[in-house]
Amino acid sequence: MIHVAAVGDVHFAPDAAGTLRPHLAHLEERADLLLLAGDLTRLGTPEEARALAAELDGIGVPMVGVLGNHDYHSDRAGEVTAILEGIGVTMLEGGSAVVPVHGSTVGIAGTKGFGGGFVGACGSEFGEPEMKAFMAHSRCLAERLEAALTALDTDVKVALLHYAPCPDTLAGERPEIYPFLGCYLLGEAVDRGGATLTVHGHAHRGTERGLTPGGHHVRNVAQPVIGHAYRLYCLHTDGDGDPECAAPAVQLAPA
Amino acid sequence: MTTTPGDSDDLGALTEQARRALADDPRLGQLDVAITLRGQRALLTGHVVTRDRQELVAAVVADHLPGYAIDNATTTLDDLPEPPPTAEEQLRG
Repeated sequence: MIHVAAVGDVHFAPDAAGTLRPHLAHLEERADLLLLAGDLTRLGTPEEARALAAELDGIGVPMVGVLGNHDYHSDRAGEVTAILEGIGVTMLEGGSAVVPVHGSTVGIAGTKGFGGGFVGACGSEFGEPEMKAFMAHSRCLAERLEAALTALDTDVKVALLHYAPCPDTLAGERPEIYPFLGCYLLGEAVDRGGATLTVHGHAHRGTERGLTPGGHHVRNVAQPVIGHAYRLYCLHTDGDGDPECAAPAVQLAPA
Repeated sequence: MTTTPGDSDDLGALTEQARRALADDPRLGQLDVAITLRGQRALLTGHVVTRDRQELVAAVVADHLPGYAIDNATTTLDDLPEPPPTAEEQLRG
């Protein structure tokens, strides 16, 4: 069994110094790894990344993250990434990481993802160059996600995103902005590549739980949605028949 | 307060200006605070990280909505409860 903690949209900056760390005090006892689902900073500056790095440094569990749209705002995403990697966060964009946990392996494929909308109300690569570029960016990131998931040969696979792969977890947001919150291409990538759990952020007014069209579990872990410093999930490996996790609130059927 | 369609448009424009100011302010970069106008009150909802940002959000909105009383119902990280000690869900692949 693998215990995964996940959170997105912490929007950190120096003014928040010292506020997150106390919430992570017991994380090492509870989780085997921490997933960071983008929008890690307020405006994507190195100073903000350093403030977050100071909170996360030495928390005692492997950390894997992706950037979000806020982290690109100052055009210094490379520096933000390097600062977080400097304290041991594995930052993904189209790639994957494998974390050994208690003799099992968990593979995480990650991308920021992008918008585009969902079936019945989505964009296409047609018309102006700007529109083609918008949708091509979304398609490109989804294709990389699928390739990364497909290539993983681990006991458990997790997809780590910032943008949403399904509309379920956007419920609560205005439908007019769904195309800016996620894209069906990400959901298709998860369905083809396979993942026990997909986490994303970005939709602060959304809903925690959803499914891809193919029935894979999706969780919106944006901090305003989960209402905690992180959410904890217990993932079972194949043949794992001894659920030790205490007091699960919900038992979900296999995907 | 009675509004005509024109009034509603004006209120919508005012609200949008305030919302855009929250996003553009380099101290905030805040995209998701909702502003709801009822009578002469402006209700702010959503999540910001710190209490300082919470106060700043109210100040920025007040600048753009003169004459409106601000009800700041945003939440901060300080308001979040301690995470549960055990997994709340078990998932199988």
